[in-house]
Amino acid sequence: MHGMYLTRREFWTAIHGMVLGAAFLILFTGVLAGLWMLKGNRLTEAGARMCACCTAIGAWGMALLAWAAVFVGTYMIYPWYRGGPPGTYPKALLLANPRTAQWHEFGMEWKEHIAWLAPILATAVAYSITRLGSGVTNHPKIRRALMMLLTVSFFCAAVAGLFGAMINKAAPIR
Amino acid sequence: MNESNQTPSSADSATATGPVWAAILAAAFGCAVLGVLTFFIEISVRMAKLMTFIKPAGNLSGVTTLTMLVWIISWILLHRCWKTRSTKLGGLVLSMSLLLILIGVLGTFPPFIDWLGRK
Repeated sequence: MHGMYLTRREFWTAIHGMVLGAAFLILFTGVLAGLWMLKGNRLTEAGARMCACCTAIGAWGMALLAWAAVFVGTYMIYPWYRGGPPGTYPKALLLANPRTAQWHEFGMEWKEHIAWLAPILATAVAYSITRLGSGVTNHPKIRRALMMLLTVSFFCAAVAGLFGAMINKAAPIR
Repeated sequence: MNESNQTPSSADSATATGPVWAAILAAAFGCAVLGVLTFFIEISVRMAKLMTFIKPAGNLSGVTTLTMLVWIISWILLHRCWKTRSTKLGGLVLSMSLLLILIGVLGTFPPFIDWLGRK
């Protein structure tokens, strides 16, 4: 197909947001449901073991996706965003127009930092579920703590994803 | 955390909850470090220059590298302290963790930085 060409930069931007970021956000629902299911004696022993195993796999998936997303974002895409021939790179284009400057000054400034909270929190959740296994059912306080951390991790990734998509719409990386 | 506030593991280290609380608290501490470093690079040009470890990525490279180092080191230390214990202070650790995470989120939030740092 001749009309569906992506530059190398566009390709990696799509991998960063639409593959790594989107998969992270989708996995969140499954892991949260898994943690919710691991409550008290809602499940049989074998069911709890299976649920804990699937939840741990999902949580490690989230952690790996988040790490990959922040490293690709910080060390590949961000340099393309903030540098290049004068007046041609996305950051310069956004700042040159008062109507778009806030996309950088608020959106990008928040996104580039808050995104890094997501993998740190997701890793702690994944480790904790792996460590306790089906024993999570015996520790309601830990289970609640993990659900909170997971939700904050999701929030951070969602902020980063939303602003990433909007900024790339206002000043695409090419 | 005071040892008298913790109960030694009654079974084995695999069932102790200490390592889980250590992971949670260390992650929250990492978040707070990221928030504090972000705040300082936004209000101080000198700090922003210091944090530029890799030029193309700017000061974001230094902030995130230091955050990861502090997070991993604090996790190792907390894990060593609590690895065979089941802390009774889960509620306190959770409250501290939420506070640290809040510091992390607020420290990255541009209007908060402008307000606190009078940028």
